[in-house]
Amino acid sequence: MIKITNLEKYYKTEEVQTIALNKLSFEVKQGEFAAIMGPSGCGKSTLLNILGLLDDPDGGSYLFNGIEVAGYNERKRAQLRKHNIGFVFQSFNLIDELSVFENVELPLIYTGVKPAERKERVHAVLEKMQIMHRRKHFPQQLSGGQQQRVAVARAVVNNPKLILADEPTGNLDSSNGNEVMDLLTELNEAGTTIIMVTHSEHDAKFSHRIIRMLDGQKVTENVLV
Amino acid sequence: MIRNYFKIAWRSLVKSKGLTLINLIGLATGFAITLLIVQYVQFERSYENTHPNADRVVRLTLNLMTGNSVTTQDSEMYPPVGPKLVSEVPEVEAYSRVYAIGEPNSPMQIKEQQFLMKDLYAVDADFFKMFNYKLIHGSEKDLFKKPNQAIITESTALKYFNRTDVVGEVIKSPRSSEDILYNVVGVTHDSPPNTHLKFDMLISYPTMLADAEMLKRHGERDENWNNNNSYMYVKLVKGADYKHFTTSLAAFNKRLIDEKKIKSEEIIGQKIKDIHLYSKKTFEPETNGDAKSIFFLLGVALLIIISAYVNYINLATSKALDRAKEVGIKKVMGSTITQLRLQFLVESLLINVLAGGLALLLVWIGKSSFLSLSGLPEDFVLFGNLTFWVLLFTFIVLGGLLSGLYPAIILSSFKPSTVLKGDFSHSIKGTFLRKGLVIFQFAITIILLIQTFTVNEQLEYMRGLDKGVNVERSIIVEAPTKNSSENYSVFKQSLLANSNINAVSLSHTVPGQPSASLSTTADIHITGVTPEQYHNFYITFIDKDYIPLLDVEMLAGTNFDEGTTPEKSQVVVNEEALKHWDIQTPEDAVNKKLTFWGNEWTIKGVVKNYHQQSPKSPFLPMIHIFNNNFRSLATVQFNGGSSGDNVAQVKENFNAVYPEAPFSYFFMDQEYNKQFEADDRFKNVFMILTAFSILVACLGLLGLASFSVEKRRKEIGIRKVIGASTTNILILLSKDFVKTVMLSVLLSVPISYLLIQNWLKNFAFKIDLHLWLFILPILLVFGLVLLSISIKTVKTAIANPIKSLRTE
Ligand SMILES: Nc1ncnc2c1ncn2[C@@H]1O[C@H](COP(=O)(O)OP(=O)(O)OP(=O)(O)O)[C@@H](O)[C@H]1O
Ligand SMILES: [Mg+2]
Repeated sequence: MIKITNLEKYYKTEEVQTIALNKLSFEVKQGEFAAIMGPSGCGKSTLLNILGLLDDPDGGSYLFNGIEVAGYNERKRAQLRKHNIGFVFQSFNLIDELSVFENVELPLIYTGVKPAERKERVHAVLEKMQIMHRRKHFPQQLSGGQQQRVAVARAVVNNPKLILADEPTGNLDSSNGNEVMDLLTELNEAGTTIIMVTHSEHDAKFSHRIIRMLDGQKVTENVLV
Repeated sequence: MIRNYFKIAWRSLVKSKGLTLINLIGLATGFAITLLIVQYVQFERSYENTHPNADRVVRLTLNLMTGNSVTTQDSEMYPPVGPKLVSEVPEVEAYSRVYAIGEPNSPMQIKEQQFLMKDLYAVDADFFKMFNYKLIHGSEKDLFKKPNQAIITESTALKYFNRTDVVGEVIKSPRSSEDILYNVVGVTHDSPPNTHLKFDMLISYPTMLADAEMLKRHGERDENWNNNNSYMYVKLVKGADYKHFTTSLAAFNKRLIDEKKIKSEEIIGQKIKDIHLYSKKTFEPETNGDAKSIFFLLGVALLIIISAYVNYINLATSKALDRAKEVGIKKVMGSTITQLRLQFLVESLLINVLAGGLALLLVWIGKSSFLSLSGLPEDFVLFGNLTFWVLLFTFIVLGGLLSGLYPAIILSSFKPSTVLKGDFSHSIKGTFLRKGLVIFQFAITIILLIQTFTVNEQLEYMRGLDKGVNVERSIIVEAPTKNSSENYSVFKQSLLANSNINAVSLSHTVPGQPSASLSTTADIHITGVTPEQYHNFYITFIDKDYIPLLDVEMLAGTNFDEGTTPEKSQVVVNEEALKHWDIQTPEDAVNKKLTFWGNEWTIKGVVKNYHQQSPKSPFLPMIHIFNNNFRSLATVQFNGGSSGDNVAQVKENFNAVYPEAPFSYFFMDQEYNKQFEADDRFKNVFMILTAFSILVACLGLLGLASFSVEKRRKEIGIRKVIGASTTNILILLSKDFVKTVMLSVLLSVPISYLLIQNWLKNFAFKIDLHLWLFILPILLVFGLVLLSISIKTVKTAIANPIKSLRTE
């Protein structure tokens, strides 16, 4: 599903140039659950942004479902992104002014789904995430774990083929964290490809394979399953 | 400590440069425009202030009545009214008649030098008890008690004598009969700009009675109850009760009617201080101002400055909330909120002081164009005026305190816990206030825009209207000072010998000149018919060539028969005049006899109504009397050529025939268009105000937009990650503003409608209100709204979302 070869990304600030990704290559198959680990600043988030088509690489190749997307412009990337990729962030990134229902509904609005169908699908996914009873609440009225479940619901409501999760349990205690990991495992078992960045060896064990990075490069790969 | 506050305030202003700039520009333009307009309003209200007795001086004017309703308000009066009032009404202690001689001007001669004197009045001796004109040279003893005395102003003296000490000099008024000589008995200072009655030269009223030809020509006899041609001013005794004077005047009117001196008329009093802003009578000595427009302008100026403050408060409050959060997070609430409040006051004062400085600069830059635009005198004292500085100081201090206090109070009204959570920025109150202010500003802007569009269209309409008279390509020559009629045919023939000259005609006045240039008489009726109502008829003297030259359409009858007797008693009237005699068709009127001025006249022809005056006024009932003497004006119509060449050509012919006479001319179309000047000026002032209002409103909006975009930066990032396109984001960000402006539209349209309707009442010929007058300004405002917010929104909408998410 995803194949990157010699992927490069640089950041230029005033005088220093940071190499965030240095000729990074790996592949993630359809239906796989991959974890990415590595010390802070090694380029994990940068990688995820590129994989998620939020940013473009400075070099190398990125095949998404066999199509080269490294040269895509912003508009094309956005188009591909909204139909295929869901995001889960460490800091949840819910919109404070919108209710749970409205937050989850948002991706469907942007992909042009009709209101009646939207309601149905949002309800279905909220049931699945077990936060249906909270659908009228606002993010600030929820606990961290609940907020992250809403974020996951929002990420999957469009039935994306790929979910990218950047430290999804980073702001959660262990029991809430485990709940979210269970959710992701379930989604993966239902066929969704998941790539997750994590600092926790415990969470990484939920995945099939751990890709370890250092200074923008891959160091090892442990296959768990 | 205080120094520290200023230091921090300065840093904070410098730090948010964009915001500071918006606030500065907004406040400074608000200050500047209000300062200028207040000065203008003050000047307009200062009329007659230079006359210490002004409160006791009353002008008497004449209402022409039909039954109990007033048909015409005439500012001129019968000459015997003054003396009669003094003897019969105890409140009146003095009077002066003021007779305008030689409208628009009078030929004069000093030694061999001939010139035309403008603003020349004959006044009674007591004129100087009412109006403050002290003599610089000459003696006040027995002043103007005798005929042939003259007083000239300083600048008139300088102009013709090159010195001011000219008492004892003689000024001659050349005439075809015996010349008349005026002895200069005094020199006075120039009329101030803020008086309704301005003059260059005054002559003693007894001259009007002593000189046989003047008596014949102007008819200012002591027992003349037929011609109301002079202004009449009376001075009330000290401490007189004006109400009581009004009752006395009513009784006086009644006596006059009983004595059959007046009929269907009423004499009313008018305080001279009310003339400039409130008087709109016929034959005013100069075009007056208009109280309504003045106060409207003042209102708009105040609204602009309030808008500027509102913008400031708005932005400062947003900033205050941001900082409160920051402070809250640092968990040092108690003392820092107080500090923060003080800090806001200092900052607000600082920015107001800066804005005051910038406003001074703006006023200085815009001063001369403002003066010419508003019609204020060129030497108008602006910066030397105490109110100017008091006002500026008030703006700065009061504005600074008020606008600084508001965010400070808002801060303290929130509990620390809410401040910490940072969710008050979405509180209903805040949103409501912010929106309300924007609605208010845009409502004003839309009202002003609609008004500007209407004013513009009405003026265009009047300009484009068929005048019924051709004023193009005509040069008007003023009559030579001597031997006028004799050589006229030579002059005319010499002009007509030029192939590029179409026609030449004589007349007393031409279209576009002030109505005062026409004579009026109320008692003109069909012979044998006693009229039930009296109306003012407007009389002018023309020759046979006048009507064809001006392309005035003849509806029935013929032009004058020159050469037949009695050619003198022929008149041509217009349709409007027929209405007053109940004559149904123009054909019916031909050959009917009219009686007025003790003569019988024959209606030779009827012409279609034409706009003798701008379409602002209704058609006048006009009587054209045949006259073949070159007494006033000769119209020379060309069929082409440059205006400069044409003038040179006319001048050459004129000088050949009248070698000693001064050559004075004007262009008929220019003279005609002068009537639009006041309205044009109004339009210009309006357009400038509108522009400023738009500027201030858009600046406010820009500030608000950047604030709200800033607040929503993260949300926008999230939405984009989830799949929102740039367009989605733009719509999202604009929607709120568009909705708000929609409310302004709803608010402003009915108000505009009423305002326009009211304004259009000033015009006899006016445009129909149509939808585009409203739609176009509204579209324009929406365009501007989207444009000003787009400066912020577009940048945010196209930004890469990961940037805004990273900043978390
Ligand atoms: N927008 C940016 N501008 C400049 N440098 C950046 C930018 N984004 C990331 N970097 C740099 O690129 C490198 C990789 O950053 P990245 O955020 O991918 O690290 P990370 O592995 O996700 O770290 P963490 O575990 O702390 O989240 C770092 O050195 C970081 O400082
Ligand atoms: Mg990271």
